[in-house]
Amino acid sequence: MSQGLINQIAFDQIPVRKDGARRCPCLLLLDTSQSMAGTSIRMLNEGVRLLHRDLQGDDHARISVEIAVISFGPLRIISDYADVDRFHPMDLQAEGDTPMGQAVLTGLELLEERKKSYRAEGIPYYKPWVFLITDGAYTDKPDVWKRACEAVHDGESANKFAFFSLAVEECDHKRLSELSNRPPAKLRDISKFAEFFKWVSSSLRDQSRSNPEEVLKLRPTLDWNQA
Amino acid sequence: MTWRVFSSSVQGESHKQSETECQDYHASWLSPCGRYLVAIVCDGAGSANSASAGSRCCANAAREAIVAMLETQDLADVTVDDVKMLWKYARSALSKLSEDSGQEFKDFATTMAFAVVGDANAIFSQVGDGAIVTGDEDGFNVVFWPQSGEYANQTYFVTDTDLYDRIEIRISSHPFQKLALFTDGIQELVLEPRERTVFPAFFESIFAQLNSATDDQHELLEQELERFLMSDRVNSLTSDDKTLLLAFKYT
Repeated sequence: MSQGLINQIAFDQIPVRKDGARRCPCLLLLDTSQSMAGTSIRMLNEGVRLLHRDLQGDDHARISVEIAVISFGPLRIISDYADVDRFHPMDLQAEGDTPMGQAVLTGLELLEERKKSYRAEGIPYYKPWVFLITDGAYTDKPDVWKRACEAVHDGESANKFAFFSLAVEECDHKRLSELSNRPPAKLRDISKFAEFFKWVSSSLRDQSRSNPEEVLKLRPTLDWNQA
Repeated sequence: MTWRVFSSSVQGESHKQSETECQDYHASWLSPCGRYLVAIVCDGAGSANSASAGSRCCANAAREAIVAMLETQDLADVTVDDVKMLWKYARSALSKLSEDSGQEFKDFATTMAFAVVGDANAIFSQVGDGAIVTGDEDGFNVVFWPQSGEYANQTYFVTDTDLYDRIEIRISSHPFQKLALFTDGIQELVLEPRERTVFPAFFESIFAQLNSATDDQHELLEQELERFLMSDRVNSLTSDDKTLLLAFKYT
């Protein structure tokens, strides 16, 4: 409140709509199959925690970014879309095979549901991000994989989301490339996981502030991947 | 009877961090006798390279064209075609700016909303997001709902090729005493998207504050308005540039 005002003008008391923040939905599709056991799964868990911490430290991102997590191997919806304060990173275990295609299809359904509820509640939102991280090759039936590829390609050309995939070390790069128009980024060294999640965090924070074109203009390359 | 105008455009946190200038701009004009009020807000596109030059040029050109129009024409006689000519003038100012600077036309992309208010008539016009709100004894009303696509940051600009299909125009003789124009940086904080109405508590409260102020408090009120737009409370909800122009009739 300003001291100088005779009539005690108090703009800091003016009510505004509190659920007016724009949402920035982010979906993480994480490979937790057996081959991720050991360092990979540990680094992945740490990466998600780092992302969470980083976003928590940003007042606007805290309100606007919403995270959903699906793990595959076996397929699990670990966390449906929740804002940063309500999202709790958990310790993922490595087990089972790699139903990547099924995870993509499930994730994109979750995303569509979220968009529907945004619209029903009148919540404005930015273009959703989808990040897929894998070290292996899918074990889906060919028709499931084919449907997943179509869903990603169709969704991207319809501007429904921005899809990024990250191939960890020995991943089957060629088959992963079938999924999206945007080539998968390679994580050569597992210690770079932290940098990847930092990149995700800053991209989300940028977007929760401005718009995706600007984000990609400012961060055109996945610079955590530079040698 | 005349109008009192309070306005502020502030840079959003996002632009602070990327060291981008504030891309919002506003302009207003009161005719010497207080008969007419002109109020304009523009929001340069985040994706445009010279967005701040675009919004400034557009708002100033529109004001120039409106003032020139009012010199030769009574507001009551203004037609939809006359309003379209104002847009044509603003667009050609942007086009000239683009030619002179050697930059692309779309680098100056900006939204625009304006109100021209006279004794018994008003014209409102808008392209893009942001909104114009009027207030009378019965409450507050949004003139045009913000134009946007599926995503919060998708909208339309004065530089769009299909501009003339996008222009909203309303010519009204309904009297009102309060007027607010703002850019999309605060629109979700002061509008109710589900009902497509205003969030009335905001407007009631802010106009009550303006009303209770004394004549010599104008500058302090504008400072307070700026402080409000830059407050942590507002910044946690929006990180975009924000413009709010408020006017009320007083006797």
